[in-house]
Amino acid sequence: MIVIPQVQLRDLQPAKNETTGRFYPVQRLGLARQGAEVYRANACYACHSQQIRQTGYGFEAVIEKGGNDPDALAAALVRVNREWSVDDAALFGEGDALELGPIDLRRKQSIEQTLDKAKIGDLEAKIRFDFIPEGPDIQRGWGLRASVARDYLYEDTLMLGSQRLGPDLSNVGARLPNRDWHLLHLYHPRATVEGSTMPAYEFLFEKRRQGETPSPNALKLEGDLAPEPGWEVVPTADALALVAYLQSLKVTEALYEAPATVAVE
Amino acid sequence: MTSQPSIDDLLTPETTVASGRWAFLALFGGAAFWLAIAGVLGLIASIQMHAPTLLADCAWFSHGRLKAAAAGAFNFGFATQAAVAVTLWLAALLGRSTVKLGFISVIAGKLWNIGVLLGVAGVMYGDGSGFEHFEFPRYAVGVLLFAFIGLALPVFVTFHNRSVRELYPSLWFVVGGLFWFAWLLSTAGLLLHAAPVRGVLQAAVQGWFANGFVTLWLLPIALAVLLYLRPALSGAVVPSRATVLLGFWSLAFIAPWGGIPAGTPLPSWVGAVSTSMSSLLLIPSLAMFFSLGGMKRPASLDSFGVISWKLADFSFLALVLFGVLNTLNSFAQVYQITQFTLVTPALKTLAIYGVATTALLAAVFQILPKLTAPCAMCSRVAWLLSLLTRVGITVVVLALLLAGRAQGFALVNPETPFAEVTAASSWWFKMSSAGDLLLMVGGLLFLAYVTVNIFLSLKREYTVCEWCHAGAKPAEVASLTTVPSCFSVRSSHCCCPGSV
Repeated sequence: MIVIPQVQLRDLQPAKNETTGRFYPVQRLGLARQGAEVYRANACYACHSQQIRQTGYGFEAVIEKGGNDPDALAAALVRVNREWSVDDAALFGEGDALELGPIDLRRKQSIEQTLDKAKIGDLEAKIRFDFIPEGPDIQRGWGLRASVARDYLYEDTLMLGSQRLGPDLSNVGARLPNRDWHLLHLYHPRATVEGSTMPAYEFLFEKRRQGETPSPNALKLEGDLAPEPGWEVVPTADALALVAYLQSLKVTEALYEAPATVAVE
Repeated sequence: MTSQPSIDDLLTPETTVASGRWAFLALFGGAAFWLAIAGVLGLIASIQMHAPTLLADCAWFSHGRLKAAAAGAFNFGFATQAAVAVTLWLAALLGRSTVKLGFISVIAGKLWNIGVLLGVAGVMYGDGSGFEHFEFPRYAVGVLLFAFIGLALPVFVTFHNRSVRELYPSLWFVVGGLFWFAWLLSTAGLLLHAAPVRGVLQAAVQGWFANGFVTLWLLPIALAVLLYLRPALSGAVVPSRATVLLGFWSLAFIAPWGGIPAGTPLPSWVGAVSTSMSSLLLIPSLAMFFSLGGMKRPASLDSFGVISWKLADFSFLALVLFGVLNTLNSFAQVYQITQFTLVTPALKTLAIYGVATTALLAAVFQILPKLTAPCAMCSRVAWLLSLLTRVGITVVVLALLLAGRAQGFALVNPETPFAEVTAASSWWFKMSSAGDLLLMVGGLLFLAYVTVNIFLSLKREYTVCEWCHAGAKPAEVASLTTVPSCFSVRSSHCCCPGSV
């Protein structure tokens, strides 16, 4: 159970995105790397997982190119879905996802055959099929696709977590990129998420007298949370590092072993 | 000429325990201390689940650290130390030997406690390893590894010196458990601390260790206790040695494969094989059910016998329930709902507390009372402790299972906002805290009980060689009262000078 996976995975390397030329994953450096140590020290993995589950996959059809004959394309699309009228189909334009819902592989192949028979290639129209991973975690917006071994290639200490008393964090850097939001959430979780059961990590902050000018890092606190006049709450180095780590948690690339259609930035 | 009393006359349960009294007192003393600490830390961590502001401004008491420290104190401080003491007792009792090298147990026990102290303090300071269920820092693991050699050595020497060559089934589990735990601790220490494997392979190691700690260490020792205590207390015999043998070998073959959930980002065969093998743990559970079920409690048991019986009975039922629930949880349709929920800690609590802790306590109440003069208050404390432990475990396991169920169904429905997922379990968290409170009080009572027993035992004046001939006939005792030393188990007769 340990030796064979070790043999299988020992040569695993980062993947290169042929479109952007970027490698994924990349090593975590600097403040984010220090933040991983803060995450470890406070055992944040006791409540948060870093692992996206995928229950299946589907496809979504998108009109990539409208072609030179919209009426002919509309007629072809009606063959794909007989519930549409030609007038309905004529409303679809470039970039529109056809309202088919996620479809399975068999349905995708059947649609492709139908479109081939309608010779949409001759119209210079093109319909693209996006690969859509499915599952509650993905539908919640926690991640793009299933987590795979390559995602953790550069983790010094793997903290997958086994509980979801808080939400999954594997892609939190992409879905919640705002540094100030994270700082406020750490200082007083219920200020950002109503009903949150996360403990406040007040020891990661320092309440101190304001200097001549307020600290640029001082939290913008309002209401009951606001400190007395002349005082400010500033994050410690640990808090800043932890937030940098959380911002670094991003799974935005599709991989050969975990396909997904991803918009290229 | 006085006839020599045979070793069979002399080695009673009392004399066996007396021969290792320092070892038992040291190991159970340490175990009781850590049980109390784990109870207090565990209760605070549990309350923080529904009162998140509790001690939030103190880094040492933040939820994640407390939870890890409580688990470490319990697993290594209490359970492992008590389990080692119980293996020493069973090796001597069932091998009809005195305890050998008891002083090494005492020294190694102290070293072990230093290791646990370093581990618990390290985790609370922020030095935790980050590996779930194996969170002690590397310096603590090093000390524990070294100390375990010292803890296991007297057990093996005692086992080697046995006068009964045919092994009672409990001893299979004792010897197996000690080897397996050494294997688990050294492998996890090597692959996670000394020469860490990279990336996701760490998940394979930590999952394997966490599972093995329960199924290859604590469960075998619990089974060893049950296999001895239930027949011994009920006066029955184990009906089928072959069935127990099936239980032993099926556990030995199946358990090392478990612990890596399906869906873990490893090659998919790993999770599939591991989950399938986990489901087969029902086989050893059923083997034990058919071997030990149907034994009745006799009316003639003394007060500690009744307490031990009730604890062993609870452990037996928890074992069967664990086997069934663990198998159910292995089915993909169920696991898709229960993964990442409190069902996982519920099953772990059922195994570690429900099966192992109750079995260990049942053994404790067969060991410590034999070191002291009769103590009426002690049996009342033990009775209350036993009751609190059983009720506390039931409440915690039930609360976590129900919380996990609510959480699981909410998690798989993406329409349910996450705040509602946690809200769905909040009432059960409070119920779980109530159970943790009972367990903490039980832990403090156990500490009080062991402390009183240590003092009573120290106060008890042993006449020279008293325990040596405590089981001898009156005429033989009279002839032995002046002798200065005890016996060697290698010979088949008491070697007290003057008795020959």
